[in-house]
Amino acid sequence: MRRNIILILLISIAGVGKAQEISEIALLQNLDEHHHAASKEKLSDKYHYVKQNTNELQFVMSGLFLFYKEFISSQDSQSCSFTPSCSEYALQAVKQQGIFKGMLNGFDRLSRCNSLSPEKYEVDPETRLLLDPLKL
Amino acid sequence: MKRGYLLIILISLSTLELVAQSIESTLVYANEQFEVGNYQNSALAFERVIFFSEGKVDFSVYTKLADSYRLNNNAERAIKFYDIAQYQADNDSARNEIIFRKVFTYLQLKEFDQGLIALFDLKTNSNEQTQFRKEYLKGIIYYLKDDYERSIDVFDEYLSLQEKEALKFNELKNQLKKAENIKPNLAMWLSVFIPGSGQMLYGDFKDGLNSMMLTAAFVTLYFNYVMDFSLVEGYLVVLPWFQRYHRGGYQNAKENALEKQELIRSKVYQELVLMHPEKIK
Repeated sequence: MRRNIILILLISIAGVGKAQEISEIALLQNLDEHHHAASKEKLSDKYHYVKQNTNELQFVMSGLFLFYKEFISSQDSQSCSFTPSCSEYALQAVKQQGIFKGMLNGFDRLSRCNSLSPEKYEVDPETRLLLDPLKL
Repeated sequence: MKRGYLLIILISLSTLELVAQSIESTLVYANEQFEVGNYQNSALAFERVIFFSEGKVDFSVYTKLADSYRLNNNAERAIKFYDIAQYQADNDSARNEIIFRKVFTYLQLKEFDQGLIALFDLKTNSNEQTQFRKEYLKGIIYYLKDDYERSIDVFDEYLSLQEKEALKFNELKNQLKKAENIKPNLAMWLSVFIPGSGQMLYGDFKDGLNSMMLTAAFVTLYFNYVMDFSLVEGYLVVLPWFQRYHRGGYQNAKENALEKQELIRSKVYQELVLMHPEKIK
């Protein structure tokens, strides 16, 4: 009985060596926490939808948004209370509601960005920011 | 009466046979499940084999049970069975292999100290390859513990016999030294006094220039306000904005320096992992 068990196991173990080496290396490579800390998402990847414009106005607004994100917002520490951020929200509003209504909606959002009434919003568990997506 | 006894003996004998057959077939089933990658089922089946054999099974059954748990992401339970397998193993070579697997399980749990302790259970006097593998893992674990100096010492020893790899390792050592020389706090303080200079110190000229221009714009605006209106107005209107972007700038300088440091360390780590004993032998 014991001999049979050993035999079965020996047969099943044969040929595992090479695969084991590969899995060991893969496991060790995945343990690299430096890499996770160092990998930063590109702006164009993060806001991929910015490139989807249907008219010139949207194109200009998207360009302004990317300029703001790249050169101004990048120098700021986290100051917006919401997710998506006010600039993202305003851009989405302009794209979906047109320049006039969209801008008004964007200014409305800016006036609410103060964390004075957090109870009105849900909290995003990932970013710990107040959830306020654009509602149509 | 005699017939009754005979009947009881016959029934009990047949039951025993049934149990014995069932253990073997369960073991075959367990192995089959393990081979196809159904680790949850294989773990249950191996547990069943051990239970019905009242624990009197070969250490390899415990090893496979532990493997099943490890591959099914139940590392805590895997370690328990690796421990049993380790103490039941009847030869050094098998025991060492079990210890290596236990070490990898600890690494999966990010319990690096436990992994290091487990490595000291290895009996390496008879096998050079085991010694080689042990040193490699020791070096990797020290690196994962951010103890770069000890990791380098271990790898130095580990690679002392491998001339080709030693040359490559020297390059990695230089890279690590470069990472060590990056001082995030220095970058931050430089940017506190001269905005953008901390970023530029470690080669991030675009970000540095960006920060410098933005803060310079706010300073200019402040003086404009002071001259056109009053000191108080300049202070109230412009300074909060200046403070916000100035702080963002020096925080960026520190983060960028840290990021650069981590990037170098990550690259070195990936290279070190590839110095696996099987790859360089």
